[in-house]
Amino acid sequence: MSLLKLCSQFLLALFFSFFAFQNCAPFEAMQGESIYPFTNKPNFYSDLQVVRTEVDDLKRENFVLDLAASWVLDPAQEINYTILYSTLAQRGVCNPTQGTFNNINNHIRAQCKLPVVTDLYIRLELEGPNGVSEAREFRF
Amino acid sequence: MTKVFFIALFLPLLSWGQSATMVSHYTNSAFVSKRLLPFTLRSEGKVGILTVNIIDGENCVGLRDPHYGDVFHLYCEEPDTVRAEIQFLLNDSQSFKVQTQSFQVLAEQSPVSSAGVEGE
Repeated sequence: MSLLKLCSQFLLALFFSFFAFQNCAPFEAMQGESIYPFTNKPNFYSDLQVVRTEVDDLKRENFVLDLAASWVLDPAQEINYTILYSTLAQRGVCNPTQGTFNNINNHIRAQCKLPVVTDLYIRLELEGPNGVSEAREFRF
Repeated sequence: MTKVFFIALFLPLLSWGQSATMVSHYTNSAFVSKRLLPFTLRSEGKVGILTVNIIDGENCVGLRDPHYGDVFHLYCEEPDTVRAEIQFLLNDSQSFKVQTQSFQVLAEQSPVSSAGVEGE
């Protein structure tokens, strides 16, 4: 009898704890945590996306990339950017894309055409005032 | 009771003189979906951002930057028209709300200039 009572109490506690520990956090907050890409405090904000990939008749793959970046403390600050392209087998598969972002424009598009269809590895290097620099790596 | 009512009424009045500006970190052409769009909130006496609420834009979310108290981000999973309300704390412990302008986040936008090309 006491075992039955114990079991029923356990099930009751389990039932209430199920509702008590439901994740009631806003959907917004959960998404926010997963979309923020910087684990450490960044000096730069940056985002690099593949807009499209095109494969021609010779099986060459053209990656069209879209980059936006800025200095965190002052979006108007000039920063230098370099995009380096590699595959698993070879570094420098495309010429590096380099330039300077400023308060008028910090958004560019770049391309890299590979001789075969394969994954593209990208290293984005950003350099701000006083020699502060950061790098991010991407795989597409 | 009267006193509580008076304070509740009076606090918003104190905030009327407050102004704030929001500086986008990216140029408008970079406002595309699946991109975290950072904005810095500038306002005299501001301590930090408390909340970021999306008013328009069901495909979008807003978040405070975990590292910088005066930066918030907007992110749209799909193209949308987005508008947000930012609540921030002032150094006299009052909070104040401002709204962003409504702006378009598109699937793709061409930048003002293109850079770099290919190699094989």
